[in-house]
Amino acid sequence: MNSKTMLYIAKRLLLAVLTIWVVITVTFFVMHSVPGGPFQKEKSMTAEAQARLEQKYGLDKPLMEQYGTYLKDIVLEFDFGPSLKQQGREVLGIIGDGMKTSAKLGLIAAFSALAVGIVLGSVAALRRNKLIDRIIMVITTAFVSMPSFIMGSILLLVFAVTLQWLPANGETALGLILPIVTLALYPTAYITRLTRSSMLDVLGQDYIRTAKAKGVSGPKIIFGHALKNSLIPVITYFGPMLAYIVTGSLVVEQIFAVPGIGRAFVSSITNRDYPMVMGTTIILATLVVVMNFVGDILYKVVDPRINLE
Amino acid sequence: MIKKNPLSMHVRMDSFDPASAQDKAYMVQMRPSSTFFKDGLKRLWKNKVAVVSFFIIVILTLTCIFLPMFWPYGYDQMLGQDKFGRMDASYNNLSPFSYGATEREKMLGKANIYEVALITEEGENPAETKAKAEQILSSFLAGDKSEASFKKLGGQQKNAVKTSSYKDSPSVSDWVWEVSAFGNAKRVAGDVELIETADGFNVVYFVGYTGETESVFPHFFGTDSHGRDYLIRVVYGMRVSLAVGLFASIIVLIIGLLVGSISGYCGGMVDMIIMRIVDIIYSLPDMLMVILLASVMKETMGEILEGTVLEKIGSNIISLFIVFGLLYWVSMARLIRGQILSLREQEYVLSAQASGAKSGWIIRKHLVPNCISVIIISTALQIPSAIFTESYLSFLGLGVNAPMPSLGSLASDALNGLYTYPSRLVIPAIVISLIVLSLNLFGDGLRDAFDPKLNG
Repeated sequence: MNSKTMLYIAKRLLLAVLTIWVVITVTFFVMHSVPGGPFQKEKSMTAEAQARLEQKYGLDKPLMEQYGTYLKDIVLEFDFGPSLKQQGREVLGIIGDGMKTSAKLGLIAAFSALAVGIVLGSVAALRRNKLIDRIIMVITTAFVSMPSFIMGSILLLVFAVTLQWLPANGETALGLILPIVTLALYPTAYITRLTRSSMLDVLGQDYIRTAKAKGVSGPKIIFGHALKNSLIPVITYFGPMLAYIVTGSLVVEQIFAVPGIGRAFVSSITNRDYPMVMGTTIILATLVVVMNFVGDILYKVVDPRINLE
Repeated sequence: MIKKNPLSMHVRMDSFDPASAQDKAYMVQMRPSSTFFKDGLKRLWKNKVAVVSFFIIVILTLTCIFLPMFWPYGYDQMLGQDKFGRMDASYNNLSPFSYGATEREKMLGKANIYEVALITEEGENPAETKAKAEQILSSFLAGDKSEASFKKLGGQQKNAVKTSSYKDSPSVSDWVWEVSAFGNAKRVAGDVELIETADGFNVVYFVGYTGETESVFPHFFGTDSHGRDYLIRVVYGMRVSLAVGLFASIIVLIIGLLVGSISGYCGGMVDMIIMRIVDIIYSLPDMLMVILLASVMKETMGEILEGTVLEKIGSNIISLFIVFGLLYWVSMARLIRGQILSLREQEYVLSAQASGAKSGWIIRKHLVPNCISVIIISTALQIPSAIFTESYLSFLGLGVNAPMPSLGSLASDALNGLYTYPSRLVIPAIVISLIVLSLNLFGDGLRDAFDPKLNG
């Protein structure tokens, strides 16, 4: 790794940290711009009780002071404060609980998308313009154009309601199959298309022709020479894929009643549980930013040809 | 003209004479010249997928605009509700091509029911009243529809005959009421029935119907759980989706164009600062920010918008536009800046400058055509992504305000009755996939046709 690469990594790291800071700041001020604050909608509360609650949660202090405390707590102690609606629970604890299920869901979806997408993409590229390539391209085009909630609802309708093969409820292990498939379909389709086009690109390169001319066997060309290089663009998709899975999990967990972070996030929005909304947004956003960062760095490290600015 | 010696080194001076009209005519191209856009359109027309997608988009757009004009049902009209606000539950959850109770009667000719109730007058015995009623009815059924004895029904006073207010007017001819067919479906023409009311009156009640059938406009997609025609709701949902997609893209285009060209033209410090801001916004997880802003703006915008025209569209859609304006312009700005920077350095621009072209000519003939296709294409591809975002937010309940439907909220509502009414999910799902798919394919076609450089 030369100094140019190090400089690039340092720049990217600075940008990532800056982005996370912007997320925290925007989230904080946006949530505090809501008129009336979080306790206003509760009609049964007296003014005194409300004042006491606000005091308890520090909402009576000046805004900048609250912001300072919030930022300090997050950065130094990783503390997102208590939940307003789930009495006696910390935001971090709720997120941690939800994250167990969601991470399982997301990771399985991501890895199966990678595996299936790379295989299908390679097959499509090797059988270019044959029937199987056409079929793969048509199906992936359709999947790329289908919002996750539509995909989830249709899968629910077909496999849980009509055929009754799988449970509609995502609380059991078997019930996690449909949510995982829903989450994985779009990235799979995307990775398939990505792999196909980069594989076609690579197969047209001179070194492949040289290998062919030297009489290297077909599978060896593909696995030894073409595949490795054609996977480089897929690395750049890590970040966007995670972002998709995070946003997709919001609706997918809603549809299949999976007790994950996405469902907790949506219900905290409807409950106006502000610390919860802020904490979840910040953690999920940080996850996406970090993943984007890692993807970018890997991309540059793996492929030295790429121009570093 | 000097006679030329073939070995002489003399230059033929007539080669330098101005060309005659004949010479010029010889040089004119036989084939009519083609402009950039004609060329592009020709390429686009050859792409069958893009053409089909284009027609699907046109048909769907025209449907959204014109169908609500003549459709007999409104998107928020609860068909089972009468003018007194009472609900007829038979209109709720209809499956495609089925009808509510009163509509069925209309179609069978049972809607124009003549219903008469006579009350036994003082000194009259119930049997006499009944005989009188039978006489009126038989003359009615024989074709006598004189106003004196009958009044066409069509009103809604369900079971009005049993209320005590009739006591006050004792004359028989007054005992003709408009009674709706509601609840009287069990009565058949020719029924004569003697009822004793709670306040001690004997009422003779009889019914006849004219048998005139009426056609009822079908509910092609059935109705929803509130008895609203589903087709018109899907069409309105489509309207919302397409309109949001279009306006959001225009907003993105305007902001991106402005910021991108400022950044590209000014360069230096301005460019640096703008591009760092763009970098940060670009790496924000957009969907999370959209959800956050949409959920908060619902609270803040609601009060500001109250009473204005915008209220009907809903604070959520306004906040969606704001969010788009805040977050989604960055890729457009980057693109336009890049275009401007790279186009300025192109050899053909240099060549045009060297040939003495004025900057107006260069902008018109070189920069605009090369830039505009990229801008149009990325704006076109922005539309489906905006539709995606809108339907996603609507699905989470952060989209349009009820009762205005959106394809996302229709799908989300359909989840509640998925086991019994799957068609209500399938229809908006198909529509939204069709819209996004054809917009994507058409955008790809546009790109292939108008920007061969992008064609990887």
